[in-house]
Amino acid sequence: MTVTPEFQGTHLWDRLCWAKENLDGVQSDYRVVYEDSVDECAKILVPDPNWMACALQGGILPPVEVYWELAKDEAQPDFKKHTRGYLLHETEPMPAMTEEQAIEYLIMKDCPQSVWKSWDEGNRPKMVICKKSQLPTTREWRNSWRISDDLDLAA
Amino acid sequence: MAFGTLKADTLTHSTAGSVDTNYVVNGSAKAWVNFDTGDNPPVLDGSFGVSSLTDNATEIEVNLTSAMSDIYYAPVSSGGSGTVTNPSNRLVATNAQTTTKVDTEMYSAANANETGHNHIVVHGDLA
Repeated sequence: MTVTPEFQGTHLWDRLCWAKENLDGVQSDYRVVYEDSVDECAKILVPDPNWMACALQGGILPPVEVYWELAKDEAQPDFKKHTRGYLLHETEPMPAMTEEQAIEYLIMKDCPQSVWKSWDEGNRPKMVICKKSQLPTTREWRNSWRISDDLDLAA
Repeated sequence: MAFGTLKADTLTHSTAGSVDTNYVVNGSAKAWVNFDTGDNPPVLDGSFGVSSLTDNATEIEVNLTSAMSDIYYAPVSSGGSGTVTNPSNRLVATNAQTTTKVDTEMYSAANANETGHNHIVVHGDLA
């Protein structure tokens, strides 16, 4: 089993270089379907295999809260460049995650907060985690895809 | 396996001169990805430094693992139809949307939204 070096304090990019060299990619079967605007079609989040390998390995990725802090800085009207990039490199890395935990992390990193913070509020869910096989097999009418109204959320 | 580190500020060739290693680091691609929008949804066939793709129908967002320093970095793109008869009939437009998100869109040479092989490389300074 490959052991992750002690990476706290190592630049995140250097960690990703190590992971690319030492870990096999993991192609997840999970997809995240979400709607962040009533005027737009459903969007689909697809995890990256090398990123998933990092998440499952542990000791590489920073906590997702670090990305939120950087996003807050970036949202300031006078933002020019990041001055707290060290948070990515110096915060204690995340331990190994299960694939399901990794998908939750990825949702909180790459989906809009307005979606995942209130995904089940309102008349219908704004976000669904599904398997690739549950999506249509072709992109026909892709611009009009919506999350189905009659979802069985327990399935 | 040990994580070896070679620390040097300058690389010097016996006859060809020297280069500061910060040029090597800063000049390297910080992320890249290859995906086919003909797949549904597109999967990442090859990548580095990318956490996920967001399929927005005509646009695909590339989400980066390591944030860029600012939004003035340089995503570079190319595309191909994947067919033998007209493999180059694709254009890919990119835009640095945030420090962790690159927006991409593929067109045919006739300026219509199209699917095909997308190749995105991100250059610039990391946060």
